[in-house]
Amino acid sequence: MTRIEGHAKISLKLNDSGDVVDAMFHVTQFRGFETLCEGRPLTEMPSLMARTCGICPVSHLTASAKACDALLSVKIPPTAANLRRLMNLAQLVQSHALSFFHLSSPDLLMGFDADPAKRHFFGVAQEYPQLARDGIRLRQIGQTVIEILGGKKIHPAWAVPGGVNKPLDAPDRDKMLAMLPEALEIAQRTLQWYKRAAAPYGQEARTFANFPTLFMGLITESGGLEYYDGLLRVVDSKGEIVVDKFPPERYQELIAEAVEPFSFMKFPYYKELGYPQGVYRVGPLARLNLVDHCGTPIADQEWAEFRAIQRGAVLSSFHYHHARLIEIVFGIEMMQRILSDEHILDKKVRARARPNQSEGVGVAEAPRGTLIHHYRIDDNGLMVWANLIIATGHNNLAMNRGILQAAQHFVSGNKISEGALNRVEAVIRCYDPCLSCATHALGKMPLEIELVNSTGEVIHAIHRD
Amino acid sequence: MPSIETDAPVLVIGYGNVLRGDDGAGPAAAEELRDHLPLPVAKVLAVHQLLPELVEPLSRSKLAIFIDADWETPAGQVRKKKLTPTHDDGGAIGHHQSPENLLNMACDVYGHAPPAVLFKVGGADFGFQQGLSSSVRHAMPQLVREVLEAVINATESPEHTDA
Repeated sequence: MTRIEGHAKISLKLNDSGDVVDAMFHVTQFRGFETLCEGRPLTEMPSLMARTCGICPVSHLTASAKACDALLSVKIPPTAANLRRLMNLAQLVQSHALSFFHLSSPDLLMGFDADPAKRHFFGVAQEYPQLARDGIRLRQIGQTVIEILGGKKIHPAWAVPGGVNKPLDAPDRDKMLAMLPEALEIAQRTLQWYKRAAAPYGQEARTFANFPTLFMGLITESGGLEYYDGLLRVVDSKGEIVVDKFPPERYQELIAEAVEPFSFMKFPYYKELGYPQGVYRVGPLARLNLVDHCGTPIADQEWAEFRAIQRGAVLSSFHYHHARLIEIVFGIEMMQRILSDEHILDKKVRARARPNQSEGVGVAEAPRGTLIHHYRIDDNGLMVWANLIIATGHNNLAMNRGILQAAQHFVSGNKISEGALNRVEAVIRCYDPCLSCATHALGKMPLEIELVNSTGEVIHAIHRD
Repeated sequence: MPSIETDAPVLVIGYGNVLRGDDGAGPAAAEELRDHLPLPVAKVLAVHQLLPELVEPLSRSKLAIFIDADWETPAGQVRKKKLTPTHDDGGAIGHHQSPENLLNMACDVYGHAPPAVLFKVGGADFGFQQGLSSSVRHAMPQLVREVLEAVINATESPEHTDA
């Protein structure tokens, strides 16, 4: 099993009374990156792995480069680490902007029951041009930072084993710094708007994957938000710390992976709770549930307000949207801080070494959650094995449970309404899963929903191309 | 360098997938045009696909030229089509945007869309491969020449920018 993306299919199973008793989220395409990299030199891995995804290539680049650092047994120069951190944050901003403005805002602006012919980003552009401008500009700024650093917006091959391949110069630093105040203004404006716009959606907030789970992610030494480095923390649904400051390279002590015949996506689970009880969530909601603070002034204020939504951990996946916007604010503030570092223009940005370990793990926080790259190489530095645990995979069990919860609330009898279909989609969209084809739909995500009765017969189906 | 941060009166966008044979004709033409169309005359972009982020620089342009490969046009032929802002239902966002859709969005979001023209070159082979077929390679000089003429006409007669 390996990283997959593409179309999705949902099956809802009914009992004799027509009540939904089970739900399955099928991911039906196979990517195979874990296998196709076998035999390749480790030096190729970051740029090869960046091809896993056109939305979050920087995450794979980063985690892969970190795994290769481990294979080389090098500690990369601090400035290189900060530059990688900077690019990872720029991607967080642009990816979250894509998720929020382009994919999710139509539901919030037009309503979940709105005509799907208008419920898309072009509809937003017509009805709410300022919001569309903000979304376009915010994503553009994030992508431009990636392009300045890596030479191109998508699939930059800039992070390399041992560091990065080019130091930053003052004009480029100044260009990036000059864009960030505008980005912060947009992010804050959107966050304030969201808090008003989301208020009418109490029913969705109560039923969109609103249940107790564990939450996992990276933290700084002081318990703040961390996306590039850091240590793993797991908290429970009450917000109590279950595991703290756990070395991420030992992830296999916490997590195991299961497979199901109905999906090509793996089902990671928290080992101590077993499968399938070991449900945990990663990504924006999890990160804000984990930390003791964010680490930047404005984000810290917003985080405090966010955590007041619910005592303990904030449980509804509907609030991923809110968390995503706070993370954008944090990302911009932190980018300003990194770019203002007195050492950011240092020329020493790469440590060079031959392979010194046969096994290496790289862990970073992607926009959607914790991303793990785990490699083994032979004596010639050629890949012999890889294991990738993608953020969306971590959330797989929770997504399946979330669909079940929403379906049980919104689907009744033997028919599905368009509004129910869209709400089931919207539960998935809260997680911003990286099934990029399926989730980048313009109002009409390619999706099948089947109603299966107690004898396994498909009694009703809705299909969208 | 961030390519779309720069103002230029003409925006040329060659788009397509360079890993799908002749679908890479648009980016290939854009790469050739870069040498002939320096700033500040024109900004030339070679992109994998059309994205909403292109709407903002489009809205600031006085003329937009799109270059794409086309499987319906006979292989090696170059055709030109004036574009008008039109909203089509489109496909998945980020994967199947049309130039007309982007122009329409430029109007909606920024209040202005430039006159625009699409140059299409007929492709012969859209399989999984890099490089262009001989038909498209032979058509490339004509394609580049026609785009250059359109830019020159527009920049010499700014009031007549419909290429």
